[in-house]
Amino acid sequence: MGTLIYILVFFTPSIVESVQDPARAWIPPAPDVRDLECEAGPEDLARREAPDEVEPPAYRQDYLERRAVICRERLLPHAARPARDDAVLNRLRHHAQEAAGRVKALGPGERTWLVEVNYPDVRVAHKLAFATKTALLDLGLRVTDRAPALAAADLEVLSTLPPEKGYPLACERMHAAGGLRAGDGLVMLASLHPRETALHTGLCVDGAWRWLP
Amino acid sequence: MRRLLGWLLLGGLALGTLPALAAPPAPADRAANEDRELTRLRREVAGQVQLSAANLLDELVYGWAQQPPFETPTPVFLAGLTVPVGLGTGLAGLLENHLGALLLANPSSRVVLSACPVCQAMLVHSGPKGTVVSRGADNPQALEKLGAGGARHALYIDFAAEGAWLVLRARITKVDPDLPIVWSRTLPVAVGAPSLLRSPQHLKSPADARQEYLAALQNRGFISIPVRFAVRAYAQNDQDIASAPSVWLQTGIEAALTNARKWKASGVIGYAWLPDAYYGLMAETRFGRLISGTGRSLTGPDVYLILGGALVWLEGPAMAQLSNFAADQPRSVYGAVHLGLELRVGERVGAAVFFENMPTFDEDQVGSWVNFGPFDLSALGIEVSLCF
Repeated sequence: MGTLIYILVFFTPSIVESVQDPARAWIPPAPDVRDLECEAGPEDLARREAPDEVEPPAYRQDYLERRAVICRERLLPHAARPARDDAVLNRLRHHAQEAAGRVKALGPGERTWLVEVNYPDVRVAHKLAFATKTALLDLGLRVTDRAPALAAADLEVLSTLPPEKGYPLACERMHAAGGLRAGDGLVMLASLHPRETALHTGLCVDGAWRWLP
Repeated sequence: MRRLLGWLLLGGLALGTLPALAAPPAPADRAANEDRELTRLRREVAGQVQLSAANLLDELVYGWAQQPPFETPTPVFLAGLTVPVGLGTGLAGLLENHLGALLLANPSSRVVLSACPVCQAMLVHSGPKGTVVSRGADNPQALEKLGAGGARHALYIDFAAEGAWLVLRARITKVDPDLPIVWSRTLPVAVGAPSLLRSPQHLKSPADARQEYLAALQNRGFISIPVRFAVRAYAQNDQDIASAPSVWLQTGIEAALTNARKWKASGVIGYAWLPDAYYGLMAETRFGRLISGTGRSLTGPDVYLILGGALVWLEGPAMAQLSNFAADQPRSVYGAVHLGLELRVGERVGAAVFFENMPTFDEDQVGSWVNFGPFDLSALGIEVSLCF
């Protein structure tokens, strides 16, 4: 009995707090909790983020170890846009920086980069291209808004080919038709499968195509 | 007993089964309901996003005012402003207007908003290599042939919703055959962050605005001195006779108990005097809980739920009805508990209304304005306060 009382007195407050903690997910998330993005951090972080909510530390140690969980509500709830678009757009910065980082890792160069995106939804493609161009510029690379135009007949043929043949051929045609000039490079972000949310980065340089690992 | 339990079980089963027997909505109705719900949701989000997006535009123009992207004032046309996927174009229109107002109010940005209808129109351009259909801004050769060439710059702005962040990306492209991007910037803001840069004429950096906010939080002090002018009106007793209202001037100390001022407490003493009627003294303590938000607003009014107690001494001919002590003239000494609402504007002005329970009196002396079971709320108080 004594042990039970000891447990109740000393552990009940922390258990109650833990149960309410959305980061631990002890309780199945309610729909509105699913729309929260939470990250754990030190108490100092919480004090900086919300100085009016979190009190300054006591001058004397109170022997309590505190932890902050900062939760922010997602801007658009889960249901507001298609699930695949939502997954891609929520990691827009990640996709753009990852692609730009891979291009930058190829080494310094005087190349001017064009950016194209192959994604089923044109609005999502536009955002991906915008973010990738900005990320390339942030890394000090030269970027242009030119688009490597292809003839309608080329597009018709390319649309019938599988990706492993289509992209290299498109690269060749862009180079041959003058859409890509000498000194240009094309960064292509492509979604290769209708169910995948990862994006693949390919490069077209001097008429040669390759996927970046 | 067992039979009763059986009936209860059967009843529970029947109640549990009834919803399942109800006909599900037809697929068309369900789709329509989902569409309606999505539209409502998007409208709600757009309303919330608008302020954050405007705040990001403020920050963009503030950045240009501090570090102009051009050496001389340069005409720039808005080639595109797109909003998060899932939100309507009405939001884009509002943001375009806001950007225009900001650029007009901040000529030091050196970005001069100009119109270029042909740059935004769809053009069909036939050349030796084929026919190209594109926007004017994307086809400088076509613009040249239309006589709309020359040094122009296109501004593209995109807002994206990335988890809990609204991200603005902007780029400026020089409209010449190479279409080079000459400037770009990415600005994120967490959803729900307070808007910082709202006055277009006096934009400031988020760091400065946050410093001002912190200074305002820290410098407003935890202690203030309120001066209250209060009137207490007493309810009629069971013979429809009411005591004269008492008028009080009170002062003391008010303390904020938390940084956000969700809780506050005050202790005041008061003096009442009406010539040939009464005079009196009181000591009152009160707690307040903010109910209009999570923290005291720096700019708007706040509402507190107040609960307090007072010890009152009143003496004079006008207090005959409340007299409960034998003396040369009617004298009333009583304790009271009050509950009410207080409206506060900033740290300066407040107004409160409250009901007071005076347990030492019976119905022969004072009645009640409102009755909560054993609690008679016998006095109605109204007060105005100034804080220093």
